[in-house]
Amino acid sequence: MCPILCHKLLLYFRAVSALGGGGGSIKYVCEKIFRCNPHCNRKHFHNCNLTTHFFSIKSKVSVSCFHLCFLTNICWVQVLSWRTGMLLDSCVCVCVCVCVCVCVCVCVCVCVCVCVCVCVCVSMVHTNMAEPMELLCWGGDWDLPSVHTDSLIVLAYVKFSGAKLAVKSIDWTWRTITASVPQLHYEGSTVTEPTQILNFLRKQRFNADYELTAKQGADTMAYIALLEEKLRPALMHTFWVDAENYANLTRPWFTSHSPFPLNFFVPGRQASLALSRILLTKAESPLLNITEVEGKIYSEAKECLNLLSHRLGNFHFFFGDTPTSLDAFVFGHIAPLIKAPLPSGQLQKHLNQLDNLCQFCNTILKNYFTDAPAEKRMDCSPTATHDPVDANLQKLTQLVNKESNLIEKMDDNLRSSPQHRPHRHETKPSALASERISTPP
Amino acid sequence: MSLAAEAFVSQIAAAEPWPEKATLYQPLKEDQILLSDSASSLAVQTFLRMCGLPVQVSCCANAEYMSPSGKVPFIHVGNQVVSELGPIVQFIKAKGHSLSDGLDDVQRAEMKAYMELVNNMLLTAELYIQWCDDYTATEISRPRYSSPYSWPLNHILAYQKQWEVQRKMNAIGWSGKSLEQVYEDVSQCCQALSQRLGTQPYFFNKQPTELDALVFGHLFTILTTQLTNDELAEKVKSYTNLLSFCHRIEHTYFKEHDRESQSGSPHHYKGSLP
Repeated sequence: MCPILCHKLLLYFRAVSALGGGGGSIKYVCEKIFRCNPHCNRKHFHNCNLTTHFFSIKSKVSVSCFHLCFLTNICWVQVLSWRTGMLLDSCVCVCVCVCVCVCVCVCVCVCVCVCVCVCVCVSMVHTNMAEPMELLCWGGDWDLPSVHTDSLIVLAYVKFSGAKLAVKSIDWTWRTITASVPQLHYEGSTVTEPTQILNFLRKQRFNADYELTAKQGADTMAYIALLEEKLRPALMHTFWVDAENYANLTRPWFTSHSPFPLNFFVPGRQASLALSRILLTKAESPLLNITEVEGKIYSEAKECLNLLSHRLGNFHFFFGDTPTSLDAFVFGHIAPLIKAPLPSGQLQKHLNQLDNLCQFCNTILKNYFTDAPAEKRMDCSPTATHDPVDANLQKLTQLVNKESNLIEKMDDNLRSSPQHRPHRHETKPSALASERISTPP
Repeated sequence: MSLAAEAFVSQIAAAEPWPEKATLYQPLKEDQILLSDSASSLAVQTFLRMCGLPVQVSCCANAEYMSPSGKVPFIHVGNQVVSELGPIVQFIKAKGHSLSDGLDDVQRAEMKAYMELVNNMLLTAELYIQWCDDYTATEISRPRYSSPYSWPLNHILAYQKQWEVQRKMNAIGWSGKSLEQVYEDVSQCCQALSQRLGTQPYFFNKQPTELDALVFGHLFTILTTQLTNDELAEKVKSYTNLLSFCHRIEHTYFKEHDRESQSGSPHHYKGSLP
């Protein structure tokens, strides 16, 4: 390790001298070191007596060493905060740097070794203070424990299964760009991805699906696949690709929750990942344009929400009276859509019309995330006795909405000029709806 | 197709009856077609047989490029060309034939969910095994995919397709998975299907639906395809009710037709069911 460090230091010397730090004296030092042992290579650097050379040189070189140590210390401190995810106090940083730089007169290598020792000690201390089971996720806002779908899924499942773990937010740390969230740490091992984390928790005997039958377990897998295929692309588009939402809501939020200088990179990176995922999975060859894909993914997402609403019906949760992993997945997907103050949210408007899904979301928030007393559960029971007339009205409303969305799209495509107001909407949906209904099944 | 065009097409399609000379296009059976395409094609053929609609199967080397969405199979009916099982089901529904009318809303939601499960897990696993597993890609997929073309086009097209599939796997997070994990996912998917099927003849009791067609297409193809190793087929074989389900559908919809006419056998280059 040491010889390689010396070699790197010599390279830094040359760089500093090129920047005008030490001028000719650096070259003099380098030549001295090389000439002191003509067969000197990387392995033999430790034989050269660097200390005596430093004592004999001019003050400009010591200034360069000071600069070098300062930079090295800054780098190590940043690496430390990156690894441990905590930002050390700035005055601590300065103190460490100054103390170590004072020792520059002795030997540069000693300074670097001291830095290394300090870092190792601090990180060891930090590891000893680690929690038994720790979950990393994005922070919360808009009445939600987290704004990130996958983090919400895991948090909801943790509440449902009664697992005890420490939840740590990655906001304002370097983990916003380095960690793939959500992440579970336990006894040195790391688990990512909601499905893997849920499997891991089940193995630790925190199982919310204990009472499900085999068929219900199969249904869970199927509905989760439906959510991933149909709803997730539209969600990603709403939050990350739609220009108005991204500029007014998503990017400011993520920028304000990332440390400097990551706030310039984190939102952009997430947005480009979202766009590439949508285009790669949903854009077939005639639909290479994102605007064409939009129509398709939003109509699929609305259909998916309608299907979920049909499946949920008038029940509190998808499988009886206790929540399971499917409830966690659905909650994670629809809660940000319900609660986020989106400037342009056609999917949000559609979702707000599906009362039972909104009720489902609010029930979970009330019962599991605000520590409200158990009597509040009884408030939901009157809604369970909705009569079928309301259900039929709801279905009719959904049908009309589907038709009107289709008509809107057709109009947008057919009429390119903006001054034509679509004032014939009110007569068209009913006409077309009756045509559709009269088509033989 | 854009949403408006789709709406127009379905309105127009409702007017005409099913013609005599409807054709289904797929890549060459013996030399070119791969596991995933063969599964999709068989699913569509099964669905059309279940609806009682006659269709001729035509094998072309450039079927993928003729298709409006770039995916096979596609059907050419009258003036319209429709590809992939989802749009084909909607198209046929507009013509007045539907297998899932007897289902209520909850069952329809379940059916759509299970179809997505098959697409998400089985189809993606098939694509992964074909194109992201180096051995299979070198031995089977690339040679077969590029067999109709001459040098150097065969190399270019094969690698282009492989990179496209690998990019897609990257985007959905499957590139980090190992082959064992993919086999495990297939096994879980088959377990879910097996539990849903139970002892019933079809997934939704007495009548077959498009879900049955899709599941049959994928499982039959997996069981009868010769890959570099038999592990995928073994995973499916361990669920006996799925095996008997495949036998039943093959016997009901393919053996009888084979007795009447010598076309449309689902046995490709692979062989018959064990």
